[in-house]
Amino acid sequence: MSKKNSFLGFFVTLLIVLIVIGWIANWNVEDFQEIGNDILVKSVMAMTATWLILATSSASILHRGSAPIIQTITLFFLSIGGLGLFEILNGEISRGMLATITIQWAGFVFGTIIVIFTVLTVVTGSQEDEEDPLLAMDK
Amino acid sequence: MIGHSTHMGPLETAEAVIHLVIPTCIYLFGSCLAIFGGPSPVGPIPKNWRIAGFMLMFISLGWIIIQSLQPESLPIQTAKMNDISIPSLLIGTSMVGAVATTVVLSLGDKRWNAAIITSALSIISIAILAQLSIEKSEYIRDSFQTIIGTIIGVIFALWVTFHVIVLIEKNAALPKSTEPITDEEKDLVKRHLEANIRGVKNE
Repeated sequence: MSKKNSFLGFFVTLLIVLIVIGWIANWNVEDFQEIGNDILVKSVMAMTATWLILATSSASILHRGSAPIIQTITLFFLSIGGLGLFEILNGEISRGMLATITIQWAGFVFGTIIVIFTVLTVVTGSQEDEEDPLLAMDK
Repeated sequence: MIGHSTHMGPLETAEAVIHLVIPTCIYLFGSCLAIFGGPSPVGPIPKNWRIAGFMLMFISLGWIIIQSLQPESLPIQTAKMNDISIPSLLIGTSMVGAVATTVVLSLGDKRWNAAIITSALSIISIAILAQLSIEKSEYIRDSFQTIIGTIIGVIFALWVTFHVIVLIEKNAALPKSTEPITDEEKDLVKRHLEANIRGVKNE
């Protein structure tokens, strides 16, 4: 498959899955604004978390000069800005919402892990004929 | 919006996460047995264990299906936030499974088995979601919106971070470089090279 076709296939598949799940989730075109607002709020929360993780992880290279220090401070301010934006868009961050979003992220990550390990298992399983000659020497 | 109830706190969150961790860890353990029981050049284990690995993977999938459709049948108590955790797991599996199918197919190299299994995972997850939607479409909608928002948010955050880093690195002062080599140093190096590479003539 060519590069162009694989990109097209990727987007078409993703679009089909999104439409099917949207249909299962009873999405209505009339609720477009509400859905869009909720997605925006969740994306701001994801941005805040990502910037906070990147800022804390880049703190380990602070001793390497001024650039990492500026980078860490910028990312930290971006995460605080994200938090502020979230407050503007959604109001207070409730305890229940934090709990819900944590579990939803965990569920998504575990689902991703399951698929990745399935691919690895099947791919290594289908290489049964291409046995490593060095391993075969032990027999 | 779901999640405004004050009953959901850290304990309920931890409980739901543990209920997700149990089948996922069984699946990962089975998967590792299946991978390293195959023709692995690194840390191979006895081939018989590969079958045990596949069995563990099937048990884990069965566990997830029961946890989705009839959680009260499981030997452990159902988590309070099971209705939130399961739809997100299934949506994640269905979306990533579909994407993995196209990626595996685009790589070529006759990976049909992997493509069939990932697409099967995706289709089964969608079928379970459809079954769940009869009673719990609200939870599915919320999880779906969160996952779409998360994907968009993470991509945008990484894009912004990349540009911020490029901007900072561009404006960063260059490190002090050494002065260019002088003629005296050139001569010294030349003499050393001549003495060591060509050698001193004995005649």
